[in-house]
Amino acid sequence: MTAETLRQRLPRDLAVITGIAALWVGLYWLNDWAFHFLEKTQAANWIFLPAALPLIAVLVWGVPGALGLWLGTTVTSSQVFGAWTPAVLIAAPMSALAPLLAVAIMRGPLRLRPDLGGLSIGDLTQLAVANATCSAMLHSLVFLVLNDPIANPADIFVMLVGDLIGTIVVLYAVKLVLAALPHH
Amino acid sequence: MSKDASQTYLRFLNLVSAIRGLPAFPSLDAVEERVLNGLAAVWACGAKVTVLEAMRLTPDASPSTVHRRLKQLQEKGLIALRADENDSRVRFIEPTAAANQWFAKLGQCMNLAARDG
Repeated sequence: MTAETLRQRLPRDLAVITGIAALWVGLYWLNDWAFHFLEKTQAANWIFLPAALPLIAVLVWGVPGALGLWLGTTVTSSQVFGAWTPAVLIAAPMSALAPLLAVAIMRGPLRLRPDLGGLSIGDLTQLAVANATCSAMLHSLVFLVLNDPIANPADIFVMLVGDLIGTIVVLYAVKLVLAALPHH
Repeated sequence: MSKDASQTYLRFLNLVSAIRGLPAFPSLDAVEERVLNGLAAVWACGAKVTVLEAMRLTPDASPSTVHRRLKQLQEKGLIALRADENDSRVRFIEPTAAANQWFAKLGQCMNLAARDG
């Protein structure tokens, strides 16, 4: 990548990173407000709305999208662990790493094109399942290493279900918004 | 637009298109429902119905209103149009699997209401 290309891309990538981070934090707060009663622990909820964002961000923006997630999860992880502990720095990248891993694993089997041409709802569902699985497994692995009472690796099932339901809720919300938009 | 930005936009469009494909049970307004019911009555007799005939099926709605609703029913995936083999200007209206599912669902609701009543 030339210096010229980098100079052109930098403002756009920074905007993407900031935007995704802000959206993650916003969705996290919305989830906390709307589904607090479904929370099993501070780190696991039966409905987790922000789970839809990693997949969308990585599919559309790639690495800048993942960096935005990393930034966003660093902010929200500090809330989960109650302070800026080393646990935050270890747990935060997992939400960014999971969709990158899921897309990398599924790219071959789903024959994902760089422009996502021909992406079907079936493909998107499989990607959502792969992302939820990767995210739950990575987080459980980190929680196991951290050995923190807040983050219990046994909550892997709750995280998996929460991520899947959260993704479905957000995708249907997007579908409703799209249907409400005037047709041209 | 740079190649990179256009690629991002394409990815966004394709993603939106995939999300639009999420299965959903379509909601119908009163006129759409009347038009669909009128069509169903004709289909139940085993007859074919053209767009022109359909526009006269609902006497309390003007032909242009019915035509608009037919387009909406098509967009909602409840009817499909098929051109006549002999005259491509004539188009027949056919029920889709979603329409059959819609009637089956309504039938289930009526059975449930009758049983509970």
